[in-house]
Amino acid sequence: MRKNIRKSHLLIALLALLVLTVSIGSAYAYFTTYVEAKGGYTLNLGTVTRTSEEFKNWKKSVTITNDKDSAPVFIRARAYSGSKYPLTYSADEKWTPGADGFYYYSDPVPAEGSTTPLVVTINNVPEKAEPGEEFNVVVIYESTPAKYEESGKAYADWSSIQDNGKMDSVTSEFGGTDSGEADTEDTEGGDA
Amino acid sequence: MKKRSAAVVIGAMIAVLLILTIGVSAADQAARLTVEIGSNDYEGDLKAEGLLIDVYRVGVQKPEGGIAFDEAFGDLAEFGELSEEELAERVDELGQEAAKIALAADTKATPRLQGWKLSEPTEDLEPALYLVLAYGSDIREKSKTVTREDKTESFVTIAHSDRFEYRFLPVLVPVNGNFDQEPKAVLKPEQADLYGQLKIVKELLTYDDIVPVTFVFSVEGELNGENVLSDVAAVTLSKAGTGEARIKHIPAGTEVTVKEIYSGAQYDDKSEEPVQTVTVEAGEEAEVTVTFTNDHNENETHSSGIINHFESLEHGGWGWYKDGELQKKKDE
Repeated sequence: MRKNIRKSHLLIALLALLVLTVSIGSAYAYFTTYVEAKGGYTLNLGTVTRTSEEFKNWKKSVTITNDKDSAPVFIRARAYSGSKYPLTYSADEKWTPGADGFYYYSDPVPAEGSTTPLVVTINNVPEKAEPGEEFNVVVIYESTPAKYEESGKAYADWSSIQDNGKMDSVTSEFGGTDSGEADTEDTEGGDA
Repeated sequence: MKKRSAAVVIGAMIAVLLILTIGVSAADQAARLTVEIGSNDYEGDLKAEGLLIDVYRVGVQKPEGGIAFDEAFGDLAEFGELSEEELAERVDELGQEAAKIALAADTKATPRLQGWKLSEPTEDLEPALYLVLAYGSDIREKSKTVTREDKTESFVTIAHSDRFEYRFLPVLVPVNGNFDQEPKAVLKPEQADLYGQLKIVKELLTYDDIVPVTFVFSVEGELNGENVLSDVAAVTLSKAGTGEARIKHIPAGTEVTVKEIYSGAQYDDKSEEPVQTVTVEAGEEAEVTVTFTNDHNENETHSSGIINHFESLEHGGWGWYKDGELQKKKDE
């Protein structure tokens, strides 16, 4: 009897250890996915200031790069502006507009991989600014870790996200890029 | 062109009056100055009872012709030798220069009448050339130099209503009791918009994230039934606490509605009023504030944003700002 009790205690301990090991693994995976950001918010805008001619066409090209230690992630992005200066988007076929105003990148982005550019055009901006005039354009991006069907096909579950990828960098440039305008026409959307 | 012709005609009239008036002998009698607002266009907004008038004696007619300026206005001596025609051409300039002297910090000029209200009776003034300056009773700085669309500058005195700034050009008026008609200074105010600013405060109760979170707000402004503002603003936070965003140069009186349109993937709006409407007041220090509160929603989704701010530059082009610093100029 006593021996049986010892056996059951041992079994419980082993089960607990197993559960703990799984938990640690999950948490570790989480932190692996979210290795310290290099600053997606401010990182690459600085490079734009050295490319003045790219500012001419009021186009903002957004490229999102996944962290080198991250699991593959799905990406979505959108921009907001006031109605005076509406936004249009252009990109290749990998970017698809959603009903919620976001643009969804079709492929999971692997570690150190990047999206193709999503080009946001700011429209109706006059050549000369009225004294004191100002406005803002805000670009938002989100990511979620790729999940997989039994067949191995990757998919994004934006509705019940428990763990998603962190962007290693977001490069944003002003100016049109050929690659960003190649395959799909401008579409309205994304403004406030 | 029309404006210039009118100015020359008025200048000529003043010049003639100056010569006739100031040339009268010492037997001249004192007269009572009348000051009027020469336009009814702003009636209801520009309140005459809110205006104060300062009157300075500038000089008198010299026996041999020309104007002998009082000591405090001695720097205007070159105007004293002008012919009637020349004075007519430059009378606005004379008024501007006289006003600059009168209102200079180190001026030696003393108002003959100070803080006089239009509704109050004035005292008689001895024959001389006078400078009339009007300003708001609640104004801190009486004067300013404004640049017009044609790049010309004018020195004006100012008064404010809730929505507008009224600008008065200095008026020169000769006083002589021998005229049947009492001397009159007619103020012709120009109206200019006043602006204020909006401050959006974001209070984040809990921060549980590994990237900065950006909150986005729509800002729509209506004035007299017309949409005068449509913009977005954003606040980015990387810890619990508060952050601010400002929208400047909003016409005073604008009714602004602010709504949070993106709360970050991990945060919910906990504000008592998710849509807030305020009226913008004039003045840089009179900003109106709306506050929104968010808290973590236990969702582990992460998101962030890039805030691009565009602002007019002095030469009329656009500047692109990030984190409050100019990144590039459009024309560069």
